[in-house]
This record gives sequence, C-alpha cells and structure tokens, in this order.
Amino acid sequence: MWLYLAFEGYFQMRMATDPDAPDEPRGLSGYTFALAGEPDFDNLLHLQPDEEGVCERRFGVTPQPSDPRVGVTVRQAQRFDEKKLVYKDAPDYLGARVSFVKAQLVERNGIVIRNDLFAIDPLRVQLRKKRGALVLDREDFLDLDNPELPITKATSAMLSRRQPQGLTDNSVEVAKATGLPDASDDSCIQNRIIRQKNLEALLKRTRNPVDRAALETRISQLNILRQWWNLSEKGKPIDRRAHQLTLQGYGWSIDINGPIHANKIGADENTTWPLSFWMGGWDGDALCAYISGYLSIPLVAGS
Amino acid sequence: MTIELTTREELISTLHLAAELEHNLMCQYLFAAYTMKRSTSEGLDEVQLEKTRGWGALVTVVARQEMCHMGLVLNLLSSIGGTPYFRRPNFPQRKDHYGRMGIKSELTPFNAETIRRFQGYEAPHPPPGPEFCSTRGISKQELRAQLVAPQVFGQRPAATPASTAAKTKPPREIPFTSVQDLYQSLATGFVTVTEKIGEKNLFIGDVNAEIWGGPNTPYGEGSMDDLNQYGLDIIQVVDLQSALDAIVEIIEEGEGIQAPPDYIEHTHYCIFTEILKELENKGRRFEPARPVMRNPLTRMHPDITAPREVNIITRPETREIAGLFNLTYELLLMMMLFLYGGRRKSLQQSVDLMNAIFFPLMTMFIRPLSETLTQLPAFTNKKGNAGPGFELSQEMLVLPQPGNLWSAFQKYFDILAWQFDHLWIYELRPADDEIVQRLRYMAENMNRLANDWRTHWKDVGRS
Repeated sequence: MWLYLAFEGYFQMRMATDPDAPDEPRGLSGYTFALAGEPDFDNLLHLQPDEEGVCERRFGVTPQPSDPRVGVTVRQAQRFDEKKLVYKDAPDYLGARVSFVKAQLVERNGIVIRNDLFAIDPLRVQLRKKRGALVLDREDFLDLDNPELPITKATSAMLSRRQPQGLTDNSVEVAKATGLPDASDDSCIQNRIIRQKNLEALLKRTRNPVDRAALETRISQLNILRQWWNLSEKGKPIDRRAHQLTLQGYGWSIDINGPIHANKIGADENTTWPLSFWMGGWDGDALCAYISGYLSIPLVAGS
Repeated sequence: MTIELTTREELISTLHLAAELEHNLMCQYLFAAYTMKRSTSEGLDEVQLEKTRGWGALVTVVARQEMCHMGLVLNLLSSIGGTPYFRRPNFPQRKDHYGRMGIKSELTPFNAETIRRFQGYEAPHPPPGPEFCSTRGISKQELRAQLVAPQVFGQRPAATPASTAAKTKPPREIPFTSVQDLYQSLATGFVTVTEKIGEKNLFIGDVNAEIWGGPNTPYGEGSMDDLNQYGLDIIQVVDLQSALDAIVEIIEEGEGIQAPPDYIEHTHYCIFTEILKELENKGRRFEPARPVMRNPLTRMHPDITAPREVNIITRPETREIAGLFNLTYELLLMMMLFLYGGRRKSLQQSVDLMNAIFFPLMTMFIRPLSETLTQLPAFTNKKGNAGPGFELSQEMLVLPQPGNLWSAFQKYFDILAWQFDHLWIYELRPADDEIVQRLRYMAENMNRLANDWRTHWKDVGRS
C-alpha cells in the first residue's frame, strides 16, 4: 500500500544572486536584496508562511490572487493498493502542509555545483495536517555512513542525487502553475511591467521613508528587463530578472534515506520514501518561486 | 589629440598600455566599492544603507565592465599576434605616471573626492555640458552635436605620429591625453595598419587564445554562454570590423562617445556623475564608507613612485589576511595569463581555468577577502582600517613550463587552503565572530577548490 501526495505552491528563499557570494547578507552585485527594513538574508527555503525568517512583501495597493504567497500544500492525495491495483482518494491529507526544514539550494558560485544546477542541502521533509499536527518527519543524508558529511566534501554521486536533471527555459509547465498567459519572453516582460506599475502606485501612497526606500529599489530593478549593456547583440536579449519567471529546474528525485523523527500514518520505516519535484518561476522581486512535486509513502500493512 | 599608430608593434604597445589602465582602474573601483558600509550596525540608518548599497552596486557594475574592457583589449592583442598583458605598477603612483592622461593610481575609500577622480577618468573629451547625462529623449543627431564626433571611422583627423609625440612626453613617454584619446588612436591605428599591410596580414593571431561570451562561445560550460547576464559583453576579434566593434564598445560603455541616446545614463561617466551629484546634494550628511586608509599595503614596493602615500598594515592578524588576499590575486593573474596565452592547452583546460577563475576566485575569495580587510584595523597604534592592496610582489607573471603548470597551480591552491585553515585571527576572536565565520566559510571553499583541482573536478556535481 502507498500514499501518494501531490504538493505545490510558492515558497520563499531570501538569498543573494550571483555574482554575489551565497553568504552575502544583503545583496550588492546581483539583483536580489534584503531591502530597507528587512532582516539579512537567511538563504533558507521557506515552504510555509509561518516559518521564522519569512518576510513577505507587498505587490501593490490591493493584494491580487495572482500575487506570490508562500504556502506549499497537498493538492491531491490518494492511497494505492498495489495488490488490487486500485487508487482511492485520501481527503484527510488535502491541504496538508509540506516543509523542507532548514533546506538551502547550494552551489557556492561554482565551487560545489556548476551552471545553476543547485543541490538541495540539508534535506529534511515534514508533513503537517491542515491544522498543524506533525504526521511525518524524515531526514535524508548525503552519505548514510557519515551523516555529518558537509556538502563541501560530498562526491559527485552524492551531489547528483540532490540535483535537478536539468533546466528548461520558457517552461509551459511553470507558466501554467504560476498563472502566466504563456511561457514566452514577452509574457515574462509584461508581468514585470505590471508589477512595476503596481509598485509605483503603492509608492505614491507610501509615506514611511524606509518603506519608500525599499520600494524605490524594487521599482528600479524592474527597469532592467532587457540587457541594456549588451551593445553587440541586436534586439537586446531578455534579462534574467524577467526570464527566470519561466525557468524550471526539473527532475529532482530523491529517495529519502535517513532517520524518521515522526510517523503518525503507518509509513514503512524500513525503506526509502521517494520524493520528486521541480522548482521554477523564480520571482526575484518577491524572492519567491514555485515548487510542484510528489511524496510517495510506502505504508505498512493495515495502516 | 589622436596619436598616429602605423605599425603592429605600435598597436601592441598601445594595447599593453590599455590593458594596464583597465586593470588599474578596475582595482581602484573595486577597492572603493568594498570599503562601503554594509549594515546598520556600522552607523547608518535603513534609508542610508539602501542608498549606500545602490551606490556600491553601481560601482561594482562599472568595475565588472572594466574587467570586460580588459578582456576586449586582450582579445585585440591576441588577434594581431600579441601576448596577454597583466602587468601594472603597484599602488600608489604619482599623477604624472601616465603622462598627461591625468590618471592618479591610488586606492581610496568611497567618498566624493574618490568619485570625482573616477568621473575624471571616464570623462569624454572635451568635457561635455551638464545636459550630457540626461539625454533620454534627445535625438541621436542632437546628441552627436554635443560631442566631438570621433572621426576614426570616417575621415581621420590630422594625427601626431607616435614616435614624434613620444619624444615630447616625459617621464613615461605616453603621448595620450585621455583614455578616450588612447582608444580613438587605437581605432585609427587599426584602420591605418590594415590599409598598409592588409587585413589578412594584420590579424594573424590565434583565435583560440581569445575568450568571449554569448550564445556562440565555445566555452558554453561555465556560464560563458550567458555571460551577458552579468552586465558583460565580450566579443571575439577576428578582423578590422570586430576590432573596431570592440573599441567602440569600450568607449561607448565608458565615456559614452557614440553611445545610443538611451544608453548614455548607463555610461561609466554618467554613473559617476550621478553618484557625485547625490553625494554632494544629500540632505542629511552621512559617511557611507568604512574608515579605510588610503593605499593599505603589506610592504613598500620598489616600483611605487608615491611612497609617502602608502599606509603599511602593521596589525599582524590583518597583515596576514592582506597577504592571503595578495596571494589569491597573484594566482588569479597567473591563471588568467595562461588562459589568454592560447597555445598548448585544450578547450577543456580553458574551461577548467574559467571554472576556477571567473566565479570561484573572483566572487568567493577576492571580494570577500577585500570586504573583510576593510572591516579590520590596519595598525597596532592608531585608527584606520585596512583594505585590499592588489600588491604584485615581483615580476611574477612568468609562467612555469607548460608541463609543470597544472601542478604549480595546485601548489598555490594547497598553500592557500592551508593558510585559510591556520589564520591567526581564529585565535584572537570568538568562533561566532562574523569575520571569523566568513573566513572559515572561505577556508571550506578553498579546500574544496584545491581538492577539485587535484582530481580534475571529478567530484563536482552534475553540470
């Protein structure tokens, strides 16, 4: 028997972007910043809005349904009886909250990982029922024989296990998930122009000088949607600030292998739990991106 | 005044000067950017910190583009058979070191005086009016009318022969009056020498010695295919047209000569002009930079012509980190020299070098070490912080035999990893000290880099 949980939603990751180093606390030479009035970056993947360190921004005068709001939840849940080959809905798990505790996307500007194929580390998955009760909690180790191994000492095989298979530009899957009309560069640019207009409207109503300084930085970053410095290529290619709205890292697939800290659903503790997901739609203004994936839990008989 | 360059040798020696200047300016800009305060705990309020970060971001963009210009100059050199050039004298130098170009080589913290100096380096000649940097919406014709149209691509101006001009310009016999003048002379020179000996005979260099980015780069692995995402635009030089394109790009980005109207505000000159305006007009005055000393060095160097302007770092633990910075910088330059040296290396070796230089060494060591130094006291007996001296301790840019080169780089990595692991400051400050933590992070990364170099990147993740 298996329990299949399909989860998705926006998560926040407040981190510097290259060429800033990953330990850069507020951002300087990349395009993401800890703004006036905000705490330093923590680099953590926050899948739930009530986690310590989440710092959600305003996107205009009035919140819109399309605004990125942190919250990764189970949207589909089914039990699968592998003997009878029967699927059955498991509504108890709808709306359950998924967390990756203290996880980061690591590459260290090419020292550990190249070409933006970030490895996720550390990895500890938690599942809480809609009202907050913890039902599952399991860790994954880079090296089962050496749980303390830091990622800077991991081998290629250990790293690959935690990496995506690749990147897709202009991903239709991402556009669909985040509500863009399509996955074209024009749609990405249009989305950023609308965001900028909404922020300008918000700025007009904002009196607090700290909030104004933060908004002014965000608005000026949204001026850079095409590469103004690119004098040799005609037509000015799209800048990463817009392009990454439809960039997808696909194919993370990790059989979670480590100790189990909570198991309230009768999960089989003698085997690994497959976790797979993609991440994409990085919104550098919101410091949010979208995740969509599956957690597959083998269940012991009778549970 | 445009100087006439009529031979390959004159082009090469002028390109050497151009490489030296780009290198020199880049160091000055980086130094200033890394002196800036980065936290409210350094005495800034939230709004001041936001403003300071904005200025810092702009100065680092300009510094990155100076790296790009240096790359273009190295490609120009390679294209006509020249060798890569990474020499420059140590800081500080007297103002007449570069003749009448008015370039004062010194490392100074971010402030109005420093930005005014930078603005001067990047100024178009003759100096434009105050409307120059607000040309958005002005027609191209109107813009051109504000400039002295550089005539290198059409009718060439009456030029002074290089040999005659050189005789009248002691002490370094640099005949140019500005950076713009140097590049305009180069553009004219490329046209002249091409006409004289033919394009095929001028562009005899090994195109494999050039490094360029963008969609068609052979160095796709290592982020070179999307190099433009970082504000850089490095093209390959193979003929007269591409040589002129490279020179035009440098002048457009720097001084703004011939730049499209909607580009002017992004030119180095206008960026510095705008920062200066804000610095001088800001309502409540505040100090955006750390109290960093001018020209903080670990020792006096024989090539320094302004020794009284040097501040020798005497605090031992700071001096040790300054030495570590200089060794990292030396390794970076040696690797660059081999990368641009062309021959006797495979494409994969070039990619390996880029994978070590462009992101890891520059962003994970040079910058954080610089920022760390500007937080540390320079002296034992007086106030003032240190900074990155970009010291070249010897005529070090001589490479070992190719067969020994890889192991020579390994030796550097291993020494650096050991030094990072054994800094004295670890004994003087608590383990949770912000600076100690940052240095420990760098130590981890240098150890990883050293191991990866040893195993030829066998343990790097999927790419």
